[in-house]
Amino acid sequence: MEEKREAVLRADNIKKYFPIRNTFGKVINNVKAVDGISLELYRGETYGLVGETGCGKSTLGRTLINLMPATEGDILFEGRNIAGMSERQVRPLRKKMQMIFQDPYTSLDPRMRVGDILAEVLQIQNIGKKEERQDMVMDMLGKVGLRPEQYYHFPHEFSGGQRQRIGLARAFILDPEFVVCDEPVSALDVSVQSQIINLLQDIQQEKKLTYLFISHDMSVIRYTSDRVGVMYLGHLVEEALTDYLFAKPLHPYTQVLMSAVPSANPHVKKKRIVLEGELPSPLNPPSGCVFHTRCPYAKDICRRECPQLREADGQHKVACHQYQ
Amino acid sequence: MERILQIENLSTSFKTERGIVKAIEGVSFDVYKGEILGIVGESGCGKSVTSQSVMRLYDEKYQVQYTGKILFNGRNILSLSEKEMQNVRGNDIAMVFQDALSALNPVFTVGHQIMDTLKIHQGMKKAEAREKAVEMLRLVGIPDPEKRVDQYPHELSGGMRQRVMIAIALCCQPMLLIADEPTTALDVTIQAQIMDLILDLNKKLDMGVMLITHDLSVVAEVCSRVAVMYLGQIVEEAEVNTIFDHPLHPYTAGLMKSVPKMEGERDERLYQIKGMVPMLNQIPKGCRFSPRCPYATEKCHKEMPEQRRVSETQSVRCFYAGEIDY
Repeated sequence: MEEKREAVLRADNIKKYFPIRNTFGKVINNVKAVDGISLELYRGETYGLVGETGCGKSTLGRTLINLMPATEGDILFEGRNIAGMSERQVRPLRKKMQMIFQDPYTSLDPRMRVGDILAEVLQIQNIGKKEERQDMVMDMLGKVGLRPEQYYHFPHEFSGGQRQRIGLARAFILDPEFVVCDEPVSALDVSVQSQIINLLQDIQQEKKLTYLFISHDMSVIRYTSDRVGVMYLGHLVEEALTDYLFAKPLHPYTQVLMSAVPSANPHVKKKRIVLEGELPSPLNPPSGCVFHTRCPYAKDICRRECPQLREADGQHKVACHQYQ
Repeated sequence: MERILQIENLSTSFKTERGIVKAIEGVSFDVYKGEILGIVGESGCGKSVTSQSVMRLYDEKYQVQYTGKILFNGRNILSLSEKEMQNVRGNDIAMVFQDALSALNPVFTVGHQIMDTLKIHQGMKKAEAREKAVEMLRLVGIPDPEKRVDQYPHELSGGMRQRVMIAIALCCQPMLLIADEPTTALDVTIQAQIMDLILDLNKKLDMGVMLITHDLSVVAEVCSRVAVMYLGQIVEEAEVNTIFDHPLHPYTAGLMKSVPKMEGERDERLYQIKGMVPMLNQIPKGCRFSPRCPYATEKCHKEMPEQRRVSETQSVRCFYAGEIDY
């Protein structure tokens, strides 16, 4: 798998801090939501980003397409550094990078007709005349499995799964190259989940799209992604091709995460690794390796030095002193 | 085994602006002492309505109508007065809800809330109740319970709050615990801890547990028996190993195939059940699953199949159970 592939997006040492201010507006501390992450996304692949609540996966997703400005670091999208660009500068690039949100109930304006929600996207980008836009929207509704006459319906008339289809339509109508899917199926039932995942994959194959697929669900990640990155407390702790990662997780945290996932087969009895303690606050992350406070293998060096994400056995990249 | 809960032909209907809606219809199942029964299904299938009916938590004056029987230790709960029912709740049957943050009162300490239960249901005095509260917190695995007992819900993490909920539910030693999606709002590592706790307490206290969930993997991991619900009815009921090895209802089989797996080959494409769950006021004629069923025949669209027992451990609501190879 060592062929050189074209990177659609390259992020270099991205940091996203949320400042905490005192009464006088002075910054007294920072929530380090994303703390120095570098990654590359190749054309046509699905990169799965997995981690637990509060690990910074959604923040990273939003920062990568500049929905939130990065505190530090470079984001190269098609050769241009979009980190630090103003909204006006980014807007033409928005056509090529889109986002699908988790909650189909709150991400659609309840007072707008579905057709208008989708047409607005085109209008902002100055695409087509009014009638053309209407045709494009109806066409798009058909592609995501809705009926063209649903153009005139309001979001509340749809079920959760259908709303997520509208969310998909809104992201895909501009014909993007890169889509951040932020927990797109987490709010959905199993049978609807499989419909949406299949739809996402069909569209990807047709258009050669690149996805950043954010999820907390390991089995969904295993199914949808080509490569996976595991996040813990603002850091990327492991990255590998999906099959390698699931066959042999190297980072202690990945191992814990895998062992906690219940199996849909009652005959499989798993040995569970139980984590000590609680997730530290991103306000005061531990020194050295962020995982050392809960890691069963923590040594002296882990408390002092933060391990870098490095090639471990040719198939994995791991940020852990055990492998360096 | 001793049967503690026996539900016979239970239907729960609600009065709405658009007329009466039957949320569940003809539900029958049993819960035995010391077992964990899973009730699994998707949103709107009636699994929560079933559990809340057992607790009789709906507004009976204006909203809800029950028919059928809910026998708890041989006594029909549905014919009890509200006063008698209050005695059953907490003492005999207790419930854990999905969202611990909204189920706990934010202005009282967790200790206060556990003590309330003890004072009301067991008539304990304050000092005694406090001691018991600390003991309960220790039982559910909360570190440093003497300190935690005086903390407010917002000071605890999600997993800890769920543990407090379980402590409140268990403090009167109920014979039946109803856990309604107890881990849905939690991360997998915390989910694993809470599930282990429920399993452990189930063994230690020998109580029956009714676990409501939408997650088949959770069922596979902790339940001994499972009932699958679709659109207000139980479509299949069996022992866990049986149902995962040989699902008989097309819906059960479809659900299992739709779940992305953690083991084995990765499928090229996920199986999908076509269509979507109809609204409760547009229930299809005949078998309720027939419009989405790939094996449906003329008969399925016309007649409603009865729940029938196919073996000691399995019953199913399908005309063609056993004839279809999934």
